[in-house]
Amino acid sequence: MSQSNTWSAWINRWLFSTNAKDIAILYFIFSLFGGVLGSVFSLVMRLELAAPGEQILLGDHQLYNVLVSAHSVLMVFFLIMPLTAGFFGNYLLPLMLGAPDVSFARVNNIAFWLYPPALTLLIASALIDEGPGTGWTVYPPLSGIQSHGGASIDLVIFALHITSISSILSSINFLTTVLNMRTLGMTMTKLPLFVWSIIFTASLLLITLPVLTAGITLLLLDRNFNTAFYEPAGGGDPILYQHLYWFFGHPEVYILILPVFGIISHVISNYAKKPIFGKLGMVYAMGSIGFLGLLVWSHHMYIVGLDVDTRAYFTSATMVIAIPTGIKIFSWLATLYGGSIRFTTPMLYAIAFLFIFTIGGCSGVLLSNANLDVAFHDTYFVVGHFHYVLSLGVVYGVFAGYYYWSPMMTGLYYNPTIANIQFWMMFIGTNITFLPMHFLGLNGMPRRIPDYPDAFTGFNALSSLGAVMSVGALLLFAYVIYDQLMNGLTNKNLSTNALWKNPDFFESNDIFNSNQIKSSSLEFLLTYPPMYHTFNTLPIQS
Amino acid sequence: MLRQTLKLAKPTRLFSTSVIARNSVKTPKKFKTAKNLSEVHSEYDLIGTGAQKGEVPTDLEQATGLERLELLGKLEGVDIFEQKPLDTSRKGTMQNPILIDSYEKYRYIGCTGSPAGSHIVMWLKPTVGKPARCWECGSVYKINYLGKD
Repeated sequence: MSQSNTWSAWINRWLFSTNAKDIAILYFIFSLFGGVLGSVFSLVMRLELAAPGEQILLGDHQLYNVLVSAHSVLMVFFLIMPLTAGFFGNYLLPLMLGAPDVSFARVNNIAFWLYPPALTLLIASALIDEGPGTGWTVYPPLSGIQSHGGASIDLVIFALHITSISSILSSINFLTTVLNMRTLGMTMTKLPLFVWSIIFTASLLLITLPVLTAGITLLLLDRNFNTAFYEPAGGGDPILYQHLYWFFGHPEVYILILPVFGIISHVISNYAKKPIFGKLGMVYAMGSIGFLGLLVWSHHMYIVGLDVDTRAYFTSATMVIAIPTGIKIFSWLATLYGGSIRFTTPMLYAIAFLFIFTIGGCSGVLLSNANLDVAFHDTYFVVGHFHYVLSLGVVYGVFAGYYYWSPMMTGLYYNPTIANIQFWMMFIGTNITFLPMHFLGLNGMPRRIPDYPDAFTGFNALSSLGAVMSVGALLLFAYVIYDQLMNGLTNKNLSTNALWKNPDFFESNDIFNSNQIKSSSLEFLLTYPPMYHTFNTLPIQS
Repeated sequence: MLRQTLKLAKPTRLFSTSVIARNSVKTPKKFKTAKNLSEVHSEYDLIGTGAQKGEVPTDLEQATGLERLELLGKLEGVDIFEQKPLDTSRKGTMQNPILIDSYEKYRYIGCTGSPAGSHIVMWLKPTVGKPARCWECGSVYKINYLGKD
């Protein structure tokens, strides 16, 4: 393709792009928009909650709920999904497979360009009428026509429709690519763990998104065409919506975390200088987590009146997920054990991920218990739990991935000192934000309220302080990217993250010095940044 | 209105490139299906014959294009797309390295030792003039350049 600087060449490359690496960059830029919006909304929420009484929203409690809805949908659908599957998946999956591109390159383009209209619809939903004050779950009857009369909810539904179409197209694309475009000799058991994580993510998306789409389409019909799927007066049942929603909603959290599992495996293996411990076990653990994730949705609905046997089943099934998750944590620790560990920025994030994700996992086991959940349901304990696994767990994984692969992707290096400071700010800030939420929840503070009794003041103030620190860390991250783009080559000399600085422990100095171009992962052998078209002659492996 | 519009529409599917290709002057109206590799002169010789009436087609009857070329090659024992994995029958040495065909002056090699799967994959990049040595099992790989210059 022509690389000239003409306007049409630019449009051809970036608007009509069929190159997975370029589309990945577009996903990254797009997700920055989603991330900034979602973070600003969360900051506004925390400022409102910084003290009892009305703070900055002037007593508009519907507006607070709109912020909650927008924050959650933005973070899940417009930050993490485009980042993990869209950015990392599109960039790394073909490179790790030794494939020149994804299987359906033009479908890839459509999948990306469905996102901007979806974001427009979502933002529009918050700006017109009274906005959607429903949270990301959009439960009827709150989301019904009597409670939300305007077009806001309809726009949210359309936004979710469009992102669903996009994700389904991407998933089909990734699965076909993995099944058909692995390079010579690369059997499924030899696939890198990140590729396996994308396989399970794409499978979960394909299985669950049609159910979500059906659920919200029935809601759309209830709202606009006088049907009564969720309306008891017409013989419907709002609990049906909850089942349909959570059949998607619970696997969705695994869709968010599975690619991060893949990223963390690569980072830990590289900076511990050891192959990942029990690689096949890791693959089966990811598969088990994905499969079990499809069978536990009603643990989000313990207090809707499920009978005791149902609750017993969902409690047990949910607790079983701790087993494959434990296998993964164990294997990561076993990889670290005895390794030649280098505490680079991505490694700091990866180790922090292990710590944080274990805490989030343990609070998850508490919540999986139907008896305890009667007390915990809809309290800040739940908010604390899922932010530990998502806002800390997934986001740390994404940061680890960015710091790990961005020098390869751009050919430009970040300043490791500033990046390490950014890590510590983020680590301290997010923990100060979300740890107190557990105590607030245990003391009975409910979710999704803009005001609270004075008794909750202390922990809320602390949490809001942490939120401000976290936003500071995000601003510093923006500077890290700026510095990387402007001074990337100078930073290379400062970098402690050069991948092959010293010989592996099973390698003689002689072999190391005569042959530094090598890697246990294919993408690091390419030029930095990789060529527009990689692999003219396909790689070959045994 | 819609019905009238449908009547006016040409009986070809919108956006269908296959229709454009079929109506093109260059496209022959009859195809001669190649029976073996030596009969293949252009892509038009790679159109499958299709199933016999009332029967389910076999792969060879159905396949068209590159897939047919691959099947014709297989019938004659020719690996058209060179899909064999890396040679792991022995360990390459500096004196007697494993030769790797390449149309470029380098190739990415994923060594898993001899026999295959003896260690995790280690990616190497031998170039013309500089063989690469696996830093786990020591096997040496050298480029056999197939390009013109």
